[in-house]
Amino acid sequence: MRPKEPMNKPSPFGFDQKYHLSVFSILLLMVSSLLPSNSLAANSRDFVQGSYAHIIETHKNHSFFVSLWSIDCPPCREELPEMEAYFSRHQEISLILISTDGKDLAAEVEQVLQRNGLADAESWIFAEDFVERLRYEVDSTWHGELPRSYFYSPGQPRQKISGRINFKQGDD
Amino acid sequence: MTYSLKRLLPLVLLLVFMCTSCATETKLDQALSAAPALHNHKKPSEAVACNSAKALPALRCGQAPSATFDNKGRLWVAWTFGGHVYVNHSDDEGINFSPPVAVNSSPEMISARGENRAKIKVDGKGRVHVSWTKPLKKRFTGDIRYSRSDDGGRSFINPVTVNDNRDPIGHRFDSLGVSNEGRVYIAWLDKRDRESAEQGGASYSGAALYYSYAEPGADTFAANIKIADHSCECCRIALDIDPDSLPVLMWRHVYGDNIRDHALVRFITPNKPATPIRVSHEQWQIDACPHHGPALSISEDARYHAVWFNDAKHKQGLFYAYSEDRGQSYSPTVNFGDYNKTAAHPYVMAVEDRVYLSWKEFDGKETQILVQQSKDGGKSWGLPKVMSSTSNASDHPLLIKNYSQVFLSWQTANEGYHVIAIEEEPIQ
Repeated sequence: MRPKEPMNKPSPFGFDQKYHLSVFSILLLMVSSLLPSNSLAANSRDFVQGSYAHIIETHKNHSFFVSLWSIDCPPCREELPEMEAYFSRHQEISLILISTDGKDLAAEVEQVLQRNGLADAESWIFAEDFVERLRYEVDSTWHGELPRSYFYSPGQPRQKISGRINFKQGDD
Repeated sequence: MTYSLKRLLPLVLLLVFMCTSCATETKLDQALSAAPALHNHKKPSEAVACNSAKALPALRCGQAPSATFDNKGRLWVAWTFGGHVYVNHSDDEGINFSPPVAVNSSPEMISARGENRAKIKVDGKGRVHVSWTKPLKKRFTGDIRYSRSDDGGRSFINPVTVNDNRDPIGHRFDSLGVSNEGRVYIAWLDKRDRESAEQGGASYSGAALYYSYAEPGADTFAANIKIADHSCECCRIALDIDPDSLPVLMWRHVYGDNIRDHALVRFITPNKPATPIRVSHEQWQIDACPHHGPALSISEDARYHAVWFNDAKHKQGLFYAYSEDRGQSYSPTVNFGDYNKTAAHPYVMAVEDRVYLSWKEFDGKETQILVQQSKDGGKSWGLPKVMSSTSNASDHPLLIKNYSQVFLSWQTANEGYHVIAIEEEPIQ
């Protein structure tokens, strides 16, 4: 019944507490300064079967943070501006946003991203109705709760976080 | 987010190329006239795809159907299509259906996705009751709507709004129950107290559980009653009628610091709720939308059967428990389903000593609906059995009953709407 990967509480940053983010960030900054910047997108790309593997492959050489969210999820909406502020200060970590809303709500998704200063962030939107398959490709133990986040760092197992992350605290 | 232009430029060029393949965006308002995107039910034999502008309202294209049997064995289904709730019925347990009838004559936005759906119940006199949530312009806002047919589903009264607070705030996630004599009970998640608190500068976690009722045959609902502050704000509410013809509600609550466990309340009279009681104790602490509400079924002997999902660190997945003292205390929980196959959206139906559980799993290729049975009131359980499967999008599975026969009610993109009789496991 238990997932194989560690599930961490969303405090202070959702990462395993044995990691201290500030130390982590300094190390990452040193490494990632040699790597390409976050990839940017003016509009959300279609998130379809295989997209998640593509994202992982694209970013595998540096640290990145994946946030699955929805315009219909109040904690996600509260998290967006804090995320924008945090990742503006930590460009060594790529931010990838994946909206689970579906293409019919793409315009509203773009508006919300724009309002929160995230129009230029790498953004994807669920573009297949078979959402079970899309979710499974992300994580077979994710049951759809939002926000759902993953932190990837080369050579480390990914860390999964369910629920809103306190980005302000994570920056202290 | 601030990025340097130098870094941005190559990506802008890339995006110009990529956006040639970007799909056309659809405005929210267009959803009123558009065919539903979630369920594109196109059977090989049917020429018009559900997402075509030419698609007509049909159950196979309906979003998020609910179903119930009346006391004559007629199956009734309510579903959403293009700004209307439609109702049709079947006299052969879902093989053939009557032409659909629109419940709301004027189109309006209707929540019909995931945890939201139009609800339908039929009382002992054959009156057909329907409720739904009408989203307003601003996200997270809505009104609770109700309509009824007194002529066997041929026509419906103009919908009424149940929430007596008419501010454009959250009144959503309706749940409907109807007693045999026709008293209508509706519960929902309400943000009026949260709004008041926030206007006063205070914080307020989640929403509140509100409730109202209408006397048999009446179109007006009683003054709204608050059941509890601090419900979770994005999960369906379970509602069943106990042998006293009063409703019992179960919902995901926010206990303390974002611990999202479940609570239950029964009623002493239609306008007097008893004290809510905590049902689950997995201690799932999360500031998130679980999108996973509970289900509840009350057997003829007043045993309450409850199912829910939680994802606490050491207690994960689907859970079942029963109460023999009308919700005061509960059996030890039974953990069911395969967590690693995303076991989700449990439902329960009790018929005397028989109890049926259903839920959804996904194995990487197909979605399966599993059913597990107990024949001793939930004390012991048979093995899970696959009842249906699909390799495309699908709705949550629901259980309904026609007297003692239990059915799975399920909408899938490939197969359309279907009801499947669940064969009783033999008593050994």
